[in-house]
Amino acid sequence: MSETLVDIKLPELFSAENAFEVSEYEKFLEHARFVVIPARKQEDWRYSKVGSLLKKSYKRIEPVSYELPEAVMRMIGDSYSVVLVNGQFNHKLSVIPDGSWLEIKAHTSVPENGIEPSIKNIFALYNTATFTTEVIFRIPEDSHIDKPVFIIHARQGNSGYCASRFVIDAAKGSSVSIVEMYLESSDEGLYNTHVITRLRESAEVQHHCAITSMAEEHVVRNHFVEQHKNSRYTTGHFIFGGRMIRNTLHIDIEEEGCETNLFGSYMLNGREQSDIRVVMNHKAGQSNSSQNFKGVLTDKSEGIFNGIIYVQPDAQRTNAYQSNKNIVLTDDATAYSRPQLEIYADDVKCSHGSTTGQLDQDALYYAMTRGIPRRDAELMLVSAFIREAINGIEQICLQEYLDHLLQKKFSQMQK
Amino acid sequence: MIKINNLHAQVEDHKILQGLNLEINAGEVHAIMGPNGTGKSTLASVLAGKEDFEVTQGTVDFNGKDLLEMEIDERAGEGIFLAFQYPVEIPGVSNINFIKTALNSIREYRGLEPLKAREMLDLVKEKQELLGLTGKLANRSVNEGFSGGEKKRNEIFQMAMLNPKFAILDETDSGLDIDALKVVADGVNQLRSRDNAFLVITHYQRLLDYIVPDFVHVLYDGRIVKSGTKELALELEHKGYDWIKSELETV
Repeated sequence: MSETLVDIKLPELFSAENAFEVSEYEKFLEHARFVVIPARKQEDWRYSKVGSLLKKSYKRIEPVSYELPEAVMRMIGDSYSVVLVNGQFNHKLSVIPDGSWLEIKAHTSVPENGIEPSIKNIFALYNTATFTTEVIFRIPEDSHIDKPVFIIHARQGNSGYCASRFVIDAAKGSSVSIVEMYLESSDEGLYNTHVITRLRESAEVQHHCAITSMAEEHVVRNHFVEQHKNSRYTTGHFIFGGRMIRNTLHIDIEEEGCETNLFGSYMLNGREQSDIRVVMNHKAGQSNSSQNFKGVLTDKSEGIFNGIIYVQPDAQRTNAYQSNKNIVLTDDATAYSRPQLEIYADDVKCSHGSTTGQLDQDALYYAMTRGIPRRDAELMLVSAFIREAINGIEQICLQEYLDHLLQKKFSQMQK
Repeated sequence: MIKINNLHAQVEDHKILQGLNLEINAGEVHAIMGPNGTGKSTLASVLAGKEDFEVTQGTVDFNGKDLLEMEIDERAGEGIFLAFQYPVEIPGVSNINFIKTALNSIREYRGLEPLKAREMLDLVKEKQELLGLTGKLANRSVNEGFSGGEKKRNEIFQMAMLNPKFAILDETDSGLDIDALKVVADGVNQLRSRDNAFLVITHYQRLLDYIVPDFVHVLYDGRIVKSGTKELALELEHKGYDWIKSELETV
């Protein structure tokens, strides 16, 4: 490795070992000089438990034979699926469509678009040098993909590093829906997932993600989305556990007439943490965006929502809404909620709100006087609370699956 | 059916019930009247099991069991029902799912199988008709956005569905116009039987024209100070509560 690069000291986590090529790692290092290393003193990472993660040394692990859980197979049904085990594409378990709109590539020397200079996030940057699989959606003009595409993230082995990268390019008038799922595991490790989405004129993309209960797992996801004229983007994020789950959603509205819906939930217990960062950047006007995130927290868990809406000077007649609501069940659980607005245009409608409270005791009492036992009554209220976010999903099978995860998680939370 | 003996209850240091005695048998309807702030709603809440109230003395025997030892939902399982003065709104829970869950919870408590979908549907339909409720309320969230009358009718609908042994109606007449009052009273009357009992809490005699009680009690200062038949309610309406107060003072 060349001499000049030695002078940057990066945390243990970003080791050269996970890179496929020395040259790529060097490229990563070059860019890494200009990005911030996450730390508590950085506004962007203020409440995050990223410190202990940075000291870990998770390494890529070669997967061995793997079977999908029954419940997951049932949900996928006859849809398309891309199964990644330890970040590596498993052809046998996947159902790949005919046609060329979906391409799956093992790591080649350079990611398709190279390292974008705009990436200011160290995890996203590291991903470009270390991803094992790249999944590229090129949806042709006016094509509507008939079935959802499931992307399954599974892991085997302890202390593993799994990195994958997704490029979604929806051409004019096309539509696709994608569902990502991280499967339950009792191991610890890091998933580093990078998603780049571009919606051309009048395109529609639905992209949902469920992170099932995995108490020791770290997941860092970076979504960068670019929306063009009259496009519609819908994304739901459902988190049912994890040592630290960090979701960054960065949406740029480049042209007028766009519609953006961001929603999701986090249900955490033990010492789990979920950290949702949203940057909703209205660069062009006449567009609508909404954000609706809900959290239920118990034990010593932490839920963080840090969202900002920018309305740039040219983005007149923007309509933007942002909401974060939390139910905190115990004294030691914490919700940090920071909904923010920065508006530089004068003809806009923006609103935001945040509430944090306990379960409604009157409703609980009322339900119990009707014979519903306390645990069931609590589940009923929590389900109703989270359901508001789940209802934003079109696919009924996914709604039902999330409902199942919700119930399972809540019974763990009630222990 | 229910035997309340020397019941004392308080909220924090505020003593509300101060030695209340009352016995109600199966097949009877009792009315409790009395001025504001004398403990009528407290009695209802204590019987239902609300945790804000601390019982400091006394016993409540319900069909041979110690009611005060039971959890709120267990009391419902045993056959207690409280129609709320102010029914609670539960956003996101549909009215129909709420009552289905409640009924099956109670059946489970009693060791019965859950109702089949068809049976449930028929039962819901039958009871809705009894209360003049339309199917529209079924899919709305529990009590959310219901009018005052709809909320009260919904309480009686739930009561009809759960078919309790002992039902307490806490000022079910408040906020009802005369037509709604009749519907609610008709509903109650149709549910009356030799096997169940009702405790009707009200300020006004009006409701008792429609739900005719076997006994009327006056609650004052946390105790029952006067009991009689339905004529007592008429007398109270006529003379007002000051009559009771002055009578107490002379004693």
